Amino acid sequence: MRHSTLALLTVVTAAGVSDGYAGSPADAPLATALNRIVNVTLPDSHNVFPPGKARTLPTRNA
Amino acid sequence: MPFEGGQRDLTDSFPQKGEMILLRTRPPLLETPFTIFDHGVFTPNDQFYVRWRLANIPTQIDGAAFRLNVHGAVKRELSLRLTELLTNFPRVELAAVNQCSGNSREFFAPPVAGGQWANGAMGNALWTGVRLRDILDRAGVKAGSAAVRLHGLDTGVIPATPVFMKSLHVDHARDGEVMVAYAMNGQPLPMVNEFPTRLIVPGWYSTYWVKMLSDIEVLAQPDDNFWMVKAYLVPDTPHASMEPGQTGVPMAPISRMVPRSIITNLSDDQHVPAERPLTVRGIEFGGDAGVRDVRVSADGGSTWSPARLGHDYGKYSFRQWEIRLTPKRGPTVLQVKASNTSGIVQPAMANWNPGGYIRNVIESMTVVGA
Repeated sequence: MRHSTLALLTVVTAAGVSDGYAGSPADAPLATALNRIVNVTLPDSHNVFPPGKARTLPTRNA
Repeated sequence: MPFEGGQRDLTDSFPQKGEMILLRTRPPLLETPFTIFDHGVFTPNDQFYVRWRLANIPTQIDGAAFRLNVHGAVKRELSLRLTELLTNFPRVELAAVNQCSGNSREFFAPPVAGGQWANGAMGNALWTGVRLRDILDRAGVKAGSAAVRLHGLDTGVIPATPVFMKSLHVDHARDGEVMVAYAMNGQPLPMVNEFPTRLIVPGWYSTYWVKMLSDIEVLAQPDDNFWMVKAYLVPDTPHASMEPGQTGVPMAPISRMVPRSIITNLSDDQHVPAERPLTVRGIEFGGDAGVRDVRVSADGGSTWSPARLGHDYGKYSFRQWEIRLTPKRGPTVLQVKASNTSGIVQPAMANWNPGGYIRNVIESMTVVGA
């Protein structure tokens, strides 16, 4: 049986919801961030540790 | 394969990420350095652990062109833009722990194959998004539907790799808690943490939290795809435990999380002032239920004292705990255990299974009073 009560839930009914985010100025920064092109480069095994950046931690760290 | 007590490499070479413990480059498996968990209950986005199953993950996404598609046994197919998710649905926020089912696999004895995580394949965030139920209701789930299947944008290296898809029973998918998140801790998800959308399944292991979620399919029948019936199975036994080499053990899909508690402000074999008050602090979570209590022992488990619990951000969140103890001179073994409101208590004996899943044994640590 799943619980139906959200212990920490805030519901914000979107204002002026017709299209885009113009109806809710508070949404603009997040909407802009979501609507952009995100382009990243993943390191490969050859450059994942740039010279001088290697550092280690003990495995048992807790 | 790394080993307990060894050393692990840290890297800050991954985009939008800070210093992380590197387990694997392709696909990225990055563990959160454990000291981060002592800083607060919310894990920073740039140090939230990263775990992908399939090696090909997009490195470019055009948010304006992205669509979340809903199809299958529905009355209206949907193709939702991010801005529609943001503005055309009620918004929900929920604090919830995301934990890899193989978290702490490195401590399994005898060792098992798989990512050799220590305790940092978990994190807690304030997720913002929309209820999956609201999306499904917009599409109109047909009567008699059985499951909701979800998949994202990651793909395998070879064509024969099964598409990674996970399913929830239709009632679970519509419980009002499962959500599609487009932000964590108030910011868009980092690319390697599943930008732009991921599924949030509060209280369940991360295997169900589908990454870069792009497709929602309502099924008329239960899902029998590879990732539901062949992978991520655990012994259907107490604590998901079995003996190495044991055969004929009934297996069941991984699902709900169980309680855990860990000391965060001390490390094993740390020297502390003897016979003086010592603050012992950590985090805990109840799994799929709220925490009932956290207890600490400094005498090998003979006696347990209740810890003081910190602010409650909701039953699915990390919660801090703290207690003051007075260590004696010489070694003192500290142990911490949590129980949840469903009555589940962390076990004294570590479980074992061949997948290295669902470890939640009572944690212990030795400090040396000097």
